[in-house]
Amino acid sequence: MKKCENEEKLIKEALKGNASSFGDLVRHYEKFVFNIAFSFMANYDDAFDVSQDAFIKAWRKLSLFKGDSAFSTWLYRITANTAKDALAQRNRRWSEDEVNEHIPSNRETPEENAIRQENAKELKKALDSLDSDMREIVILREIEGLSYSEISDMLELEMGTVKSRLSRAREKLREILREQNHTISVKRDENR
Amino acid sequence: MDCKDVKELLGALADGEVSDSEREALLSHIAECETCKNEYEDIQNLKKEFSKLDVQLRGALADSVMKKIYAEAYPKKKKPFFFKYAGTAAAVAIIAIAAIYMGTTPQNDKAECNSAEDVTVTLQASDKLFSDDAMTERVTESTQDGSDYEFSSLGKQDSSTSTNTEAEENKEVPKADAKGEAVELPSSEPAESLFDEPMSSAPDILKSEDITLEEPPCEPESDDISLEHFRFYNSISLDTAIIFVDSEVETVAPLLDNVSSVSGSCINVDSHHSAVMDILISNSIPITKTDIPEGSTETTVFAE
Repeated sequence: MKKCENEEKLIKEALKGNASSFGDLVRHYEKFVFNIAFSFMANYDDAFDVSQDAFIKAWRKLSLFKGDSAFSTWLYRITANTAKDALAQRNRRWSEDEVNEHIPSNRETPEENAIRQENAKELKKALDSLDSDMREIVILREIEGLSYSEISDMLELEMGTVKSRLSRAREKLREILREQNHTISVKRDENR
Repeated sequence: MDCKDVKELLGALADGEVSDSEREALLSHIAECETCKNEYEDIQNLKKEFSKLDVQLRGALADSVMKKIYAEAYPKKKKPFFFKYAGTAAAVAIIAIAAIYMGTTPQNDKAECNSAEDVTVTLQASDKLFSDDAMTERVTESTQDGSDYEFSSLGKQDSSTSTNTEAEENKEVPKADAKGEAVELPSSEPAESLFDEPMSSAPDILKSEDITLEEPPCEPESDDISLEHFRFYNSISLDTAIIFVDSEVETVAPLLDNVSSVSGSCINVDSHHSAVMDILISNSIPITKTDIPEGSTETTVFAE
């Protein structure tokens, strides 16, 4: 996760009560926080609410940020905890309605678009089938694009644990997709 | 490397999280092992699928968040002595009152300029003048201890409203000191008088919470000047505008050069206010500032 420009200065200003400096941080990290929230909530509106709550908590608790971890890591933990609290009060799963969030590519044929939509739907279902620890680490790696080092820091895990958990999560996903007769694994089998 | 060891590292290989020597060993194994090769391809395909998976943010999460944060950071405070702006009728009344305070006669304008004691109108900015609570708070904070803003104007001094020390004829114009102590610069031009008869006391209308002027129409300046809360407001009655600057004085300085070209400016600076004061004075922008609370980081000045 790339740091916000002048991040230290913005945090320092925000700590003095400068809300607009905090606004710059919000704008930089809004998608990051939202993706994390979405990975937990699996629902756009709930993820939006969790994201808002997470940012507001971050604003209120900014004095607790000591700088010993990356700001993104700190933000992640707040978001994850906020999402887990919200999840404890509800029981949601991936909604079919969320499947088509991705904006279709203009270069796709209608058939390609339909296949991609279907693949996305299957992948989301598979992701939802994982337990939360595995889902969390897959989201951070595959959607947020965080390095192993960043994930290790964010989740407070040893590097070896990050590698092994990710490996197990991917194995599980492939297994689920095979069971769903997903086109990814089907394609490979056809090519044999 | 055996298949068991390789399988554990295939994900890291696909993620680019292996060392060069590990990478070489893994690729070498994959080239000779169909099972591991297939598994590696599966992982790569899965990554490709994930790269297409992205939930798009609809709407403005940041805007929604900041609205709540601003409401929390800058809550509206009800002040006992509001000067709310609305309505043309109220604006006209304010103009009339201000003109009464000016009270110079046409024949002796210049003499009056030099000899008249400053008349001041005590007011505090209203919440409604500004388009967001941040602005409101910036202004109201600096008045929280009852400090008054003074309009340097010509006319008879009214002891019940003025918070000035007496301004004598041909008095040296004091500069703002480092602490931002009160600075008064008399207007360099004679004020126009609409009325001959000055009022003897602050009119109740100024204390009325019902008085409002229309909210200024100006929009925030664009981001290319890299200032926060940088806005020009054109007030209606007293020909003042307001600039809120939330940035360093080095960024403010070039913009202050334009202040004199604006028809009146009120400058609220969130920091380094003393330095800004010096810039305004050096640019010969007539200003009046007074009674900045001790330790306040904000300054509100009115330029004419």
